[in-house]
Amino acid sequence: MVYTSNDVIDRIERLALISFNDEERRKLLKELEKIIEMFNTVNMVEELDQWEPLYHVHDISLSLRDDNEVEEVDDERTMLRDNAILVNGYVKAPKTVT
Amino acid sequence: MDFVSAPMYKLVEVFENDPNLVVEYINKLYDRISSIEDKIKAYITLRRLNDIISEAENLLKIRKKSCKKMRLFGIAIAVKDNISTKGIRTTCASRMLENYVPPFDATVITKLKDEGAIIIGKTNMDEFAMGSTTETSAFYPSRNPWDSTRSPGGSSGGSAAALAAGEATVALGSDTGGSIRNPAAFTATFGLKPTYGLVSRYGLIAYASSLDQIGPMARNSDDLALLLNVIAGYDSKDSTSIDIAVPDFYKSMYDLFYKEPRLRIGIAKELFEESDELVKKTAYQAVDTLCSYHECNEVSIPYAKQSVAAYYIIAMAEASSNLARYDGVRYGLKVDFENKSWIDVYRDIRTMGYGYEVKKRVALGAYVLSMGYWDMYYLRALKFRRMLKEEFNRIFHQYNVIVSPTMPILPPKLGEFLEDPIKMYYADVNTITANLIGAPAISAPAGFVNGLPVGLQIMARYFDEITILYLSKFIEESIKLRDLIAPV
Repeated sequence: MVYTSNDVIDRIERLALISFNDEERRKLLKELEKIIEMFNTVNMVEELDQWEPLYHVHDISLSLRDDNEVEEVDDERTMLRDNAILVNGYVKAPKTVT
Repeated sequence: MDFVSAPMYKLVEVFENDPNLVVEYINKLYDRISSIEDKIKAYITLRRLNDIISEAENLLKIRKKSCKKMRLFGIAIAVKDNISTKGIRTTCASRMLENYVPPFDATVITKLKDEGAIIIGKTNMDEFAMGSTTETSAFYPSRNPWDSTRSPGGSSGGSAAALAAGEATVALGSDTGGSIRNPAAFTATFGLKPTYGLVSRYGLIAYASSLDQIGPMARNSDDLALLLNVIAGYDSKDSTSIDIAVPDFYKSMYDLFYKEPRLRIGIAKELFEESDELVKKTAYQAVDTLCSYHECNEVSIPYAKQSVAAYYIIAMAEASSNLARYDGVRYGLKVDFENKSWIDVYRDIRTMGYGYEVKKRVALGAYVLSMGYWDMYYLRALKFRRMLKEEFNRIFHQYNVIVSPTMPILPPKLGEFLEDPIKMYYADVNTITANLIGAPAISAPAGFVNGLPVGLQIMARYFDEITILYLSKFIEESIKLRDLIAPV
C-alpha cells in the first residue's frame, strides 16, 4: 500500500493528539516530503548497524540522589495551586468515561 | 563611565569600589531599554524599574551587613524565557505557557542571585526553542540591531539582540542545536555552549533533553568566562549533570593567554566550502589570525548532511515526549473541559496552545517513535550519533580544536526562513555536531560583511572550555571586535 503525504499527516495527527488546520496542513504537505527525504539520508550511511545506539553523550548511567528528606517549598503543590483547578485539594481533570 | 556599553568585568571592579553606583547603572540601562526596545523587541517580560531598584538597594544592605563578596554584584542580566525564574513569568515564547509563573528558580538563577546578579527581564526566543530566528515566537520576532529588517538568529535571539543593542550587560541562553552560537554570530556577540553536563539543566524547560545546555552570552570573552564560573558545576537536582571539579575559567583563560601555547587547529574543510562566499572570506580572515601563530591543517568533517537529519530526528523525538506534560490540567493552556472527553481536551489544548513549528516537530517526533519507524529513524539516528562521536574522538586526538564559520550564511531577512523551513534546518549544519556529541563550542565575532556580522565557531574536546575561551580571547585581541553595540 502506498501512503500519501495526506495519509501521513492523518496518522501523525492521531499519534500526537494534535490537529493541523487547513492552512497548516497545506504548509505541511509542502514540507513533509522534503523532511522525510532529509530523515532518510541517515539510512544512506553504510555499516551503521555495527554501532551501538548512543543514549547519553558521556555513556554513563544517570545517578540518583540520596533519599534524604529536605526542607523545601513543595514546588509541585504551589504549581498546582497556581495553575490547576482544585476541588477540595484534588485536581479537577476531564472525564475519562463519557 | 558609559554604563550601557561597559563590560561586566569592569563594572564588577567599579561596584567593588563604589557599590552605590549600581543604582545609577540600572537607571542608565533602563533609559537605553526604554528608548530602543520598541524597535528591537528583545524582551518578552521586562521587570519594572522600581522592583529592580528595590532589589539593588536590598543587595546593598546585604553587602554592608555580611561583607560577603558577590562575584556579580549589581550586574543586570537578561535571561532567556525558557529558564525558570521564581515569581517572574516564564513563557517559552508560547501561548501554552503565556501566564505561567514558576514557583521555583532554575539552579543557574539561584547561583546568579547568590552572586548578586539582577535579572532585568526574560528574553524573546523561538517557541520552546524550536527555530533559528525568533520568528516562531508566539508573541513577535526580535530584530537584529545591526539591520532591523533581519533576524538576530535564534533560538536565543532575544538575549543576543539585547546584548548587541546595549539592553543588558550579559545574558543567558540555551543551546540545543546552536541556539546560543547562531544568534551570537548574527549579532557580533560572544556565546558559549558548554560541554553537556557542565551546567545544570534543572529549571530549564526541556526541548530535547539529551542535547540542551544553558550557556553564557556576552560582548567579550572575559565576561563569558566570569559568567561560566558562576553557572557551571554539579547539581544533584539534574541527573545529567557531571560531578567533576570545575576550574576557574577566567583565571585559566588568562593563564593560557599569557603562556600562549601553540595549538593544533583543524580547519573544517566542508563547513567552509559549503558556506556563502562572503561568510567564508570573512571567517578565513579570523582563521588567518589564528594560523599566523598556531599550527593549522584542513580536516574533513564527515557526514555533515546526515548529522542534520540525525539531529532533527532525535530533537523531534525528545520534544514529542517532553512537551507531553502540557496537558492543561496541571499546567498549560486552560480550556473548558466540561462534557468533553479526556482525548478531546488534550487535543484541543495542544492544537490551540502550540504554534505551527512546535506542532510539526511534536507530531513528527511521535512519527519517528511510532511502530515501524522507531528502528528505521530514531534507533538509526542514535547509532549514527555514536559513530559521529567516535569519529570526532579520532579527530580530537590530532587536533585541540576544530574551527568553522558559526553559521554558513549571513543573518536572514525576517520571513525568509518561515517560507522555507528546510533551508532553516540545513543552516544548523555547522553547529549541531557539538550538541550531538556533547562537546563545548564557542562563537566569537570574526568580522562584518556589508555591515552584517559573521561569527567563527571553535569546538573542543569534552570539558575543555578553557581552550576555546583562550582562542576566543586570542581572536578578540587580534581583530578587536569586542564590546560592540549596534547603532540602533
